[in-house]
Amino acid sequence: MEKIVEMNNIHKQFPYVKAVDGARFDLYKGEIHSLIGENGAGKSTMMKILYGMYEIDDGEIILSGERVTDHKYTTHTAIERGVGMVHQEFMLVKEMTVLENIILGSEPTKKGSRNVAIDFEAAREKIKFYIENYHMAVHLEKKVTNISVGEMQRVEIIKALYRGADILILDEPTAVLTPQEADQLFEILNEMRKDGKTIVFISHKLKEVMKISDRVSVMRAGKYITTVKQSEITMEELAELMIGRKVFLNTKRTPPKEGEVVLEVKNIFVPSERELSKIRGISFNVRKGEVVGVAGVDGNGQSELGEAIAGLRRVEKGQILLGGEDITNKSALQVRRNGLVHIPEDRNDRGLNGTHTFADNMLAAEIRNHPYSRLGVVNSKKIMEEAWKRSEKFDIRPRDPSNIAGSLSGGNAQKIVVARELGAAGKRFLLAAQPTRGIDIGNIEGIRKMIDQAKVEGVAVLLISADLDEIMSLADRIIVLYEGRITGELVNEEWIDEGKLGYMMMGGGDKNE
Amino acid sequence: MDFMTIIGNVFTYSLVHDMITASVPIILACMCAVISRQVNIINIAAEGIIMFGCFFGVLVSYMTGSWVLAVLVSVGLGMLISAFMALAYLKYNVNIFVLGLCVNMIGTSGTRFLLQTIFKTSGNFVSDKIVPIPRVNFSFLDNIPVLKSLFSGYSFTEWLVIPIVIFIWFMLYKSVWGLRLRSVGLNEMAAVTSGIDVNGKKLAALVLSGACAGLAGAHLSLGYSCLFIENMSGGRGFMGMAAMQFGGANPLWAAIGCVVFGFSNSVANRLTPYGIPNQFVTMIPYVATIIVLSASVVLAMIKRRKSESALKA
Amino acid sequence: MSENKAEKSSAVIRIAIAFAISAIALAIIITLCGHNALDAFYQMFYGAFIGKFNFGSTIENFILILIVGSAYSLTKRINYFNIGLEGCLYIGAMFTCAPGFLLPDMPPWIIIPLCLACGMAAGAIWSAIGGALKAFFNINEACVTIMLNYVAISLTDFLLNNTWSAHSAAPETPHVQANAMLPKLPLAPSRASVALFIAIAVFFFVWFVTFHTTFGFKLRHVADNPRFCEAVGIHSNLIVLGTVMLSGALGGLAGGCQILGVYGNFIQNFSLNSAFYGMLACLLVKNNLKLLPLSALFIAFTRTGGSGMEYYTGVPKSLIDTVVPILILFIAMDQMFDYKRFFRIFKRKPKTGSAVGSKQ
Repeated sequence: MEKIVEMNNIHKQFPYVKAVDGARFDLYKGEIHSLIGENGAGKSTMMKILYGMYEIDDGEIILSGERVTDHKYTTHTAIERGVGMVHQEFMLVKEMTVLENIILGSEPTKKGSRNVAIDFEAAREKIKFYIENYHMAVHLEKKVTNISVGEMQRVEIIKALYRGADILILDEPTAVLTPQEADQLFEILNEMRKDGKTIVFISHKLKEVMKISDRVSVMRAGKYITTVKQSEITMEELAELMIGRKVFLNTKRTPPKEGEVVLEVKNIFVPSERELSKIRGISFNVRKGEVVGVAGVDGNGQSELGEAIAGLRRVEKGQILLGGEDITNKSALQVRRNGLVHIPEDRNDRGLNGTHTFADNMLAAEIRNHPYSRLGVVNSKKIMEEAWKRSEKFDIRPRDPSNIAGSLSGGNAQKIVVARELGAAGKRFLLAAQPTRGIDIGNIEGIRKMIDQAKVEGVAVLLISADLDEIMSLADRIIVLYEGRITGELVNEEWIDEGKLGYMMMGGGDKNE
Repeated sequence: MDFMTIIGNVFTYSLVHDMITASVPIILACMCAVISRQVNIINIAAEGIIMFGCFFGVLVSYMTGSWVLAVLVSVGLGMLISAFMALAYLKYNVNIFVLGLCVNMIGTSGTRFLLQTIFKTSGNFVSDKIVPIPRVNFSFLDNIPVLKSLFSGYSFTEWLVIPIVIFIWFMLYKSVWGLRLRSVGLNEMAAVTSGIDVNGKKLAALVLSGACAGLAGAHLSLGYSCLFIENMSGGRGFMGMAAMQFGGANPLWAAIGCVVFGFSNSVANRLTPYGIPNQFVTMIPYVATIIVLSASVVLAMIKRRKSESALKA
Repeated sequence: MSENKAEKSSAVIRIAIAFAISAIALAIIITLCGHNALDAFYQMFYGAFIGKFNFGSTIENFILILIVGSAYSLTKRINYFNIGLEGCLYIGAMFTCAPGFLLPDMPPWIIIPLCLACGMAAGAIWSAIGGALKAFFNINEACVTIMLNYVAISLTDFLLNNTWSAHSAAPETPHVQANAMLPKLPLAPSRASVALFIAIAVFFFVWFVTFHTTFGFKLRHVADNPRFCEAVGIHSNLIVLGTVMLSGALGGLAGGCQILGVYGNFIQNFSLNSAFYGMLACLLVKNNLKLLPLSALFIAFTRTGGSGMEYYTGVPKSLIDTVVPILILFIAMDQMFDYKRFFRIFKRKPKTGSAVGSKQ
């Protein structure tokens, strides 16, 4: 088979993190090649480099035998060379129609207009071919704001094909899809392979990877690990390669001490930008001294649920009680005064203010309280003292709290968030959203222990995580969220059936019902 | 004089002529704001570029006696200034408002300085040697005073404005160039991943908007009048920006917004001799723009809230 | 805050280079115009600092620029581009003036604070329009405040021509009562008043608020990451509104000081974009509060020194007014003067992430 892509010794440094560290990757014509790795392993960066979005610091890219990195290699060149990419976050102009989005960048023009006036008719004709050939139904005249996520993805694929892509990169395409939609997608991909297209499939869902790929490459922490044929490996072996060690993390869970109900969620409805993430009537409660895990595929309303409880998102209907008091639609500050502490899901977004010192970050939530301020005047000395204390207690490296928070590694940055929240006085309910996402294994264990410790101290914990491992190792009870509804609730015991859990996460519902 | 007579004296058909002449410089300034807004840049430098356009229009016309050359120089200068702004904004990450503010201040004081050093005068400069942009008269309308007042006696650039606005609209909404340009403003990442040179598009938009502002300047000093006065832009650049907000960056709607400004200005001018406080009339377009702007944002918010709602099926 | 020291010193060097280039360019232009550049610089310095009148005039400018610059610094920190200070200045001046001539005679210690408080309140309320639209609806503040400036000018125009007209030949309001005037500094015949101390107090107030209060703590966070602020329980929209209103109040105070310290009544168009010079002072030092007084003094120096230069050497003052914004552009583009690059050229370092696109 013909080798059409070769990336050798690729290095890419971002301001605070080395995203790709000497990795390699290759592609044969007509294969489906999966690139797997944990969050933050450098998969997306690697493919964005291939798509010309990032300049590389070192290394080479060879497309069909030609070293393209000798010259300036941009997205424009990549497209010309037949590379197409469907990004995890869709790159669509919401205010424009589907048709305009598809043709953007390579528009057909009317004859005699000197390539000025767009020929929409010709574009429609050309797109029709892809729609019919791969059975991808899209509404060309609708504005992108008005179409579903699945359709947006089809638009993205057509967009890439329309530009003449022979190599199609899909970045975690199934994360936003329902299982049926995912199956449809796989059919489309198989069709394309038959037509001689080459597909790169980025994922960390091993089941899908095993189902669709010809070959699999593994990346871990920016480094290339290995490439194997799908037929020569099992799912367990792949998992081992991806995680990097045989023993799965297993924080020893302390048995729960059942106390009074701290958080009570009563039939809430929460709006969302995404159709499938809207919360449509869920109820549950969390007791003192227990961890309730919210499991589910990303984008099924977990973020919305967390934000609604933390006072960051409007609740349209229903009630949330914290410690017996109604906190529905109260501001984040009021909810915090009722005893909430909150580890937000994205530390680069809501979790930390990367441009400020980590002392500032650590005490931002408590700045109003004595002794950190008095009558509105800040006591910087007390802040520094406390920050040092917490820095020691939560083992943040480097220790010095006058460092800029953004300069710390992912794991240590996340520990600042944890230190801010778990160090706070008067906490009785911890909302931990994706607390260990994208950080190194050592720190994952540390943070999980801290959460378990908080439970022992009598804090009620709601753990929202896409990492099933994390849920299994920390939660006493598990609720499963699917398309904004609870599809199952079960107690985490030794003999818990992972298959059943997976079935519920795909919307299957509780088998016992 | 009673109120009705005053109203009768103010609202005559010649008001239309006044309104149009008052609107045209604002429309040109507005196109400057519109084009840069389409790539998501709020360009407040129109005021400064207009001042340079005014001055160099007069200067070149005075020196060479050619209004065509004068207009071309003004337009070219506008493009040059905005190209410099694009350099500072795109390469050196200078805040666009800081840039606009500085260009405006340089425009005011720089032209004053040039007036003092080149023409050795201050305040204003009038001369017979300044060749204005010619006016288009339709002699066959001479017998019909109403039509004559409505259609005759506009300068060349005043007629030119109509094709310019339509051309800009066509380029933005119907051409390849415009589709790409707008995609840069609406979702930069989408543009990048479609292989569009984002900075190139921004540069092009800025340069073109500079050309519009330069033309506005030349028109102001050679078409609208035939002299140079310090500060003669008189806030028209900002009015254009306000009208752009009014029209949501669509050139056609924005041009209508400009006519509203022109109308209120000419009504205000006509009210002055009667001792009626005209300040409120001048204020109206600004207040209206703020209200329109807020209303459109609030409506969009309500719409988004509805589409986000989890309650509907 | 704990910025790299080397980084800081190189920033200072870059600013110095910008100054030097501007000064040289200015000298060349002056020479080209047929004047003696050294003489012009000397006259500029003389006109700004030597003699009671000259120095007093500099101080008079300095007062306004420092107050407006401090006010602007607050909003700059939250990336709110407050062009509306000019409008606040007009509104503040008008409402400082009004109680001054409407109320019966009172002792100075009542009437002065009363007038200034009225002006500050008016300025705060006026700027709250733009602030609220930004904070709650995210409407671009630059557009709104530019328009509000025109509305403010028209509004004050209306008041001084009708309701509060002095019925004299010029469009102006009556004079405030004598007790309301701020005492002049012993720099007669200049118009510098004890408003200087108000200006200094305002500067320290802004500095204290920004760096030593919880409000300042929050506002510094709001600038960089409003979503973070929400999550830790800081109401970022209220902070934005509060900051803008505080800034507006100080803008109103600046106008009030002009009335009570300099003019005594509200004259049409008295300000002539003077608020913009305050903004320039802040931009000149890239919103570094420590350097703000120095930069305010520098701008005041160019304003008065320019007049002196024009009077004695014939070099137009407008030249100085042109060079100052150019200087500010140079400083804003200070990476252009990256002298270190010359040394770096020889050893090729790996480039660090020119990140296009989202994070990994």
